Amino acid sequence: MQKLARKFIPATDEVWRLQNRSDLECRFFQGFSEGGHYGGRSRPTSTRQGIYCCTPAGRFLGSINTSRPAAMANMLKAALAKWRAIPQEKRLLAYDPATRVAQIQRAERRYPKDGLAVRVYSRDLARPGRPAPNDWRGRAWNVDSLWFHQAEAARLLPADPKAGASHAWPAALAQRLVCRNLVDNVRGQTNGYRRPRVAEITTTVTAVRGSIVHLTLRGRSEASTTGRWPTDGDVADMQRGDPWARGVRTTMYGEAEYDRKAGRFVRFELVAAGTRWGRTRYNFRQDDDREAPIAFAIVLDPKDLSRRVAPAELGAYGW
Amino acid sequence: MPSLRGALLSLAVLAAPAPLTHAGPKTSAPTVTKQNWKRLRDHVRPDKSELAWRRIPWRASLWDAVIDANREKKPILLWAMNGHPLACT
Repeated sequence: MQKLARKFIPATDEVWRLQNRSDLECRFFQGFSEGGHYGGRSRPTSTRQGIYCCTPAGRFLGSINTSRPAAMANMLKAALAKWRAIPQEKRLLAYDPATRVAQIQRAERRYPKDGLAVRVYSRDLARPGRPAPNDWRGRAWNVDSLWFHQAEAARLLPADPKAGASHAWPAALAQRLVCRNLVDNVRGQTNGYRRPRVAEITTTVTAVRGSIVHLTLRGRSEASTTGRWPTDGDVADMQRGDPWARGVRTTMYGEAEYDRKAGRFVRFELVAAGTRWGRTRYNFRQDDDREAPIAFAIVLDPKDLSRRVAPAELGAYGW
Repeated sequence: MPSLRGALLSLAVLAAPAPLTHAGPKTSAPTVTKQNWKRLRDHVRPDKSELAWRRIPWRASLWDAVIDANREKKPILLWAMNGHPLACT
C-alpha cells in the first residue's frame, strides 16, 4: 500500500468548501468529483467526501469511500492504470499552478504566524464499571486548531510580568477556547456554543528568567445549549420528542512560557477535563449521551505544521 | 477519531499495530490539578501509532497537491472529508 501511495502526490482537504465555493481550487475539485462514488447523490446527504485520484490537469482517475484497505488498494491500482493510458501532454496543466495561488480563498490565509497557534486534542476518559466500546468509538480522539493573533496572545499574561502576578484572560479570548474548542467532538465534529455560562482562565507568573516568563494556567468552564439535531442520519429525527441538552463543564490546569524578547509563547500546555453530556448530528453519541468524563489537551508544538490548518469555527472569531 | 483516519493508517504500513485500547485515568470527571495534569495530557494526546497516518506527506490543500503533482508529473491522491482531516472531522 505504501508503495502504491508513493506513486501519487497525497493531499487532504475539507470537502464542503471544495463542493460549494467557486474559487479556482473549488472549481478544480468540482470538475472531477462528480465522476466519483457520490456523483449526483443528494440523499441521505449531498456530501462528496472520500478518497479521489485525479490528474494535475483535473481528469478523474478513480474514487472510493471505504475503510477497507483492499478496496482502497484496488482503487489506487485502477487509477494508476488509467493514468498510464493518458498521453503525457494531457496529464498536466499547461500553466504553472503556483502562479494562480492568489485566486484561491482559504481560511489558512489568516494563520497568525507571529501569534499563538495551538492544537486542541479531545478524548473520552475511562468510566468505572463501563468499559469503552471495543471498536473505533473506544479509541476515538479528535483535534482542532485554536488561533490567537500576536496582540491577543500577549493579553493572556500580565502586561508587567513579575513573579506572583496574576492575570485573568480577557473574556472574549477565554470564550474562544471554551465555546469553539471545549466541545464534545471526540467521535466527530460538532458545533460550538454561542456563549458560555463560565469561561474563567487565570495566568500566574511563577518566575522570570531572562526574557522567558514562566507561567501557570488555571481555569474552569461550562457551556451548554439545547436543540434538536438529526442523529440517525434522518432529518425527521429532529421532529421527534423534546429538544435535548448538550454541554461540557471542565476545570483546567497547565503551564506555559512566554518569550518577551520574541513576543511569543515558546511553550503552552493546558489540560481541561470534566463532564460532557448530550449529542449532536455528527458526534456519534446516540448510544452514549448521558453525563460522562471527557478531557482536552491544548498544546503548542512548533514542529506540527498542521496547526496552520484553520480552526473549524474560525468564522466565529470575528477576524 | 472518525474511522477514515483509521483506514488511511493502512497507507502508512505500520511497523507495530495500533493498541486496541487506550488506558486512561480511572477517574470520573476529574478536577485538573498540578498533580494530575501531565497524566491527563499524555492520555489525551494521540500516541505515535495513532499518528502513523501522518507519516504520509499529506499536502494540506488540494491546490498544494496540484502544484507539486504538475511539477513532479504524478497523479493526485486526495482525501477529502467533512472537516479537514488534519484538523477537526
